[in-house]
Amino acid sequence: MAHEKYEPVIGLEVHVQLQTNAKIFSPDAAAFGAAPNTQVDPISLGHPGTLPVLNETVVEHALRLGLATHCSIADRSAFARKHYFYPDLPKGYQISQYDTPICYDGYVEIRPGEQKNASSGPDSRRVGLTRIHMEEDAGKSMHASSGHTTQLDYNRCGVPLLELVTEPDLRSPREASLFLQRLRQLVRYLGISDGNMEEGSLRCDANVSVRPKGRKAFGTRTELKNMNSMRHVERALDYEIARQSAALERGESITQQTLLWDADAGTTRPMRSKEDAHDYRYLPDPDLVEIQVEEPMVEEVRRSLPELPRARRRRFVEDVGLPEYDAGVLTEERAVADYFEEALRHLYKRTKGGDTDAQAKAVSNVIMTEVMRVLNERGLSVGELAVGPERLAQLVFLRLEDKVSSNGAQEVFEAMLEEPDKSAGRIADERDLIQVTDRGAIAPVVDDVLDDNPDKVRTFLGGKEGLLGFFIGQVMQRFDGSPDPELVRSLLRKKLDARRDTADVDE
Amino acid sequence: MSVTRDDVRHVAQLARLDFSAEEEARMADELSEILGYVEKLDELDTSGVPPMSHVLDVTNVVRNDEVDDRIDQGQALEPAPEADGDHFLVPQVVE
Repeated sequence: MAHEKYEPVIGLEVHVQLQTNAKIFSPDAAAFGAAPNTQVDPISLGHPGTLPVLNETVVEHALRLGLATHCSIADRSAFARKHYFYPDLPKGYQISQYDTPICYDGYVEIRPGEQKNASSGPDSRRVGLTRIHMEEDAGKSMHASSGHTTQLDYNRCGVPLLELVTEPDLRSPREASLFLQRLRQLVRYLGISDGNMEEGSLRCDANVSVRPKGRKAFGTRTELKNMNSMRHVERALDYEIARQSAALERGESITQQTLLWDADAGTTRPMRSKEDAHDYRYLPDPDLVEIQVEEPMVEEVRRSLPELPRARRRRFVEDVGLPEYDAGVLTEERAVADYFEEALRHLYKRTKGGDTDAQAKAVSNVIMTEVMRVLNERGLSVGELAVGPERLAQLVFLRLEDKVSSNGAQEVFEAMLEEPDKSAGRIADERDLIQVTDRGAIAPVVDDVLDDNPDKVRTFLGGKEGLLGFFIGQVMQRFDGSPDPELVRSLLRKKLDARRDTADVDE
Repeated sequence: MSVTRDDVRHVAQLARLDFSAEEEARMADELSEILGYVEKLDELDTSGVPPMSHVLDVTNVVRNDEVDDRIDQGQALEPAPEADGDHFLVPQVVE
């Protein structure tokens, strides 16, 4: 297969839409989803005589991402005008950065060996970041299928973006997708973007070329646009790599061009050459002065950074005592990791020591199964869950103390969702789910059940061990309350064995 | 530096301007003259002088991240040559 002889070389350009109240150069709201042209301003509409003023939070967000990706920070950074004519950009130019991006020379670590469920040793690899710069978003144009007009909504015009450019360090579509997942996780941890690809908060273009394996020089690249989900990025790259490999195999050459991914057709097609004419005539924007980032500001932002996913994951393994897999799942979202730690803190207050690794694992188990299932089923974020971290800790404590069975715990959890004001203990109590672990209380009932069923006891002793379930059921039913099923089982075994011994003697 | 008619046509195309043949010729002459005038600056030795991005020696002019709704939809659309009540309308742009 042609594919096997060639190695893909991929670099990405990613636009991250920032979460700010106002736009980057004007005070109109930046929120997503408002009625068309209700969040606009003379500045974002490009009216003559208006003057853009930089939103300070955009600089802070840029520094947050830059520091989290090990970038150098430019001490002086300027804005430039990037000229092109398209109706989604009323000024006729986009305010961006050109030769002095605010952050440069960083990296993001990915683990290509990492599979969701595999425990294979993940090998870490660095993907270089050439630069991160600040710029403004354009408006949205809608092309009516009928008629001869295009509708324009300028709500998005001037919404702040960070553009990241990677080095051509990625070697497979899978790696590209891993990089994007990692970046998405990072911007969410940093609280600078919601990272939602489908809604356009994270937009990705890719430069891709192939070269015969072992060759150093890069092949001719194409640029892929219009991939609006992780899955599409992988599919589009797969397609384009196969297309280029096949062309080279036939002895054809690759044309450097911009291609649009057509998700419905599953193919790429060239953009019209006119749109591909890159002649942006960058020039420093005389409306905006330089940004000078001084060391104290960098230090302040560095101090305010949250613990980042990789570090947190390592801590969950090394200090908290979780398995690697659990640590990975729980740190995927910052809010879930916070919830876990808060629940664990409440649990430690109750247990006051003991096997803390086992306690952490118990909390992890109920989050990974019950909590995540409910979040998925109901489309909730963890902050919206009726069972907060303290009540979750109450439930885990009941289970650890063997006050409720594992089935009982599940039932209590379901009930807690509906009764947000009651403690786990009270719910378990009201529903008679507190296990009786007192052997003295259970033993007489076990004797009664065996005495009342002499035939079944004989059959059991004759070898039909399956009847044990029947006895357990009988005891559970007769007992007033919820005996610990494991205890019932062991008592039954003991007493049945005792009867076997007497039966042997009788014979 | 001399600006050719091809240069004029290219820049005009980028700016979506349409010139007649005479205008193209005149633009080429005038732009050449302007650039020739500015070429005087090349006589200065600027090696070791960092490029200047702004005439004012001021940095970090910023504002707080606060929303101010200065105009509403009606005011936004009012000066538009064509609008449909919600959107600005322009001649069809083909993707």
